[in-house]
Amino acid sequence: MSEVRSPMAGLVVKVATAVGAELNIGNTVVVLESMKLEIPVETTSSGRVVEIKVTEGDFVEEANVLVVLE
Amino acid sequence: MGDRQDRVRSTQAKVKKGGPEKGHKKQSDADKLFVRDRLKLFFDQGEIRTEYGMLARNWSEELAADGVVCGSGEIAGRSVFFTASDYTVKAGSIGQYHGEKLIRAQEAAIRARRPILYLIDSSGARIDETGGHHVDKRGAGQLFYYHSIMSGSVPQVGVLYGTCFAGTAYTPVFCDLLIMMHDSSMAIASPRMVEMVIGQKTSPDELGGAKMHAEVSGSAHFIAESESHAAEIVKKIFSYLPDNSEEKPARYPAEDPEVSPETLDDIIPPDANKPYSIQKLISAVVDRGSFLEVKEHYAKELTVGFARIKGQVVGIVANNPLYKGGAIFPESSDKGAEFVWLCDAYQIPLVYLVDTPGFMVGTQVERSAILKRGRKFIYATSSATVPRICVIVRKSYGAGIYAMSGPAYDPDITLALPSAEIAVMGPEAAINAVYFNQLAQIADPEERSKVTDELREQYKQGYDIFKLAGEMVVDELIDPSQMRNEISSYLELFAKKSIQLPPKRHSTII
Repeated sequence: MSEVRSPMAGLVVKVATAVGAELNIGNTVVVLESMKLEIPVETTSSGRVVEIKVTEGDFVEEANVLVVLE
Repeated sequence: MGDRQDRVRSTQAKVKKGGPEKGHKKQSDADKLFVRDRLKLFFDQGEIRTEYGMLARNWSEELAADGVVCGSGEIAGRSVFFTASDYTVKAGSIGQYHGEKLIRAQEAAIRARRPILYLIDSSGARIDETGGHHVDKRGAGQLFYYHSIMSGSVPQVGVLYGTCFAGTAYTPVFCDLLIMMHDSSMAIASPRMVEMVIGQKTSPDELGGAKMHAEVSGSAHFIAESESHAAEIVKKIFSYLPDNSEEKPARYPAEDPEVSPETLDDIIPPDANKPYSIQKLISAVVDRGSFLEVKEHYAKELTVGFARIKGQVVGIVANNPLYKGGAIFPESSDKGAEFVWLCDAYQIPLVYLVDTPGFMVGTQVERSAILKRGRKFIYATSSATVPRICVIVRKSYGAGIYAMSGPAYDPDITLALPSAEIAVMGPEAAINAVYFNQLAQIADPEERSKVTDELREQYKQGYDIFKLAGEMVVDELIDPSQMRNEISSYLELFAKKSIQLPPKRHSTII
């Protein structure tokens, strides 16, 4: 199990993956909007998506879990 | 050879063997070098140049040199004082003479106006000897006093080996630059003490491991993978630092950059949302292999480090859009302020590379004192009197540019690349803020979106860099391929810079 966490506080503007997707290191899972910028959030390990904790429009704090991989 | 001479030689030879066999075994079991072998890695020809206090406590067989080797050696031909704990002697603990040796080294470095290197491999105070004496007017209790008063006068560099808890853990953090061995740890109290006084169970690694201090607390500047790696980092560090605050860093022969300056413009994506590697941009500006990133694992949204441009030492302070959009956080404010302060103390000119959406906002950073810690970064930059060059690389929104030595913060020159955008805020946020009510009144979503786009476009034209160059907001808009040449020319021009700040004892900001 590994988790992809939010690097900083911001708004989820896009969820770029789906439950069941097989991901490699460096795949974008969520795009955040923060500080007037789009911040792509990438995986740092590979795995299958088992849970997506956010939907578009959610506000997330730094270090919140966005996606859980197995 | 006479008896007298022979006696000196044999005593010295005995001392040079260090502690008892069991002490050596402990050290080699922990995969650590004996202190005298360790020292060979640092100095020219592997030689200690001078040593004092070798015979300290020579009446105690097992307490060779009282557990610390002190003296001087040469690094690339320059003399450096050193203190180096000998873990084979009672776990490098600080006994009475050991403490005296440490502070004599500090006093000597202060008087001789030369740097000092601390190789720390010590279990702390030798409790059976120090009862109450740690507050003596003279003695080991003065260590941190001397660390404090010599700070900014002569460079202090440290390497931490093994575990280092309580008193001795302050020496590493008083160093201008600290290298932690990957398996070392330091904390204000040991896990055993922590459990005893607050009931928390923890390990040395969790409590104060190198990774924790490099990534989370920001107390370690470098992590070394081996003892020779640590020595290499130390030697490199000294290549950028002068002997003391009154001297300038040494010049080296110029080297071409690793990445061709011709490609510099292509490294920067036109869209301010798109990340790129600031390290790559730096390598198209500085001499090949000369960039030594400092605190590379901490607050990565700000990249700082030493480098050379055409042989001249500089401190680089750069927003890194690859992390957190290059926004400035409380942690990066501390990191920036400390690095700027270090460079200013040792006459190292500063080059700022600006690409930031500004200081981070929100409840989390307010609780972490973004205002107070951001102030420190702005303060350090404002009061740094070394030559300062500001290059606007790309986005520069809000107050972030103040900390980054923007035009209003008295840099010697502000250069802009054609990719530069200087504004109070980005176009999206600006239009939402200024025209919110007007836009809300437009019922048709398509029409609203069209008007929004038009307004954003208008707003963007207001901060077009050619317009800002025309209004002389920046001193010069430059050809990106010439960035290295331009910086180098300004470094030469301002090499003898002299400015006076208003009279005072010192600032009230810390």
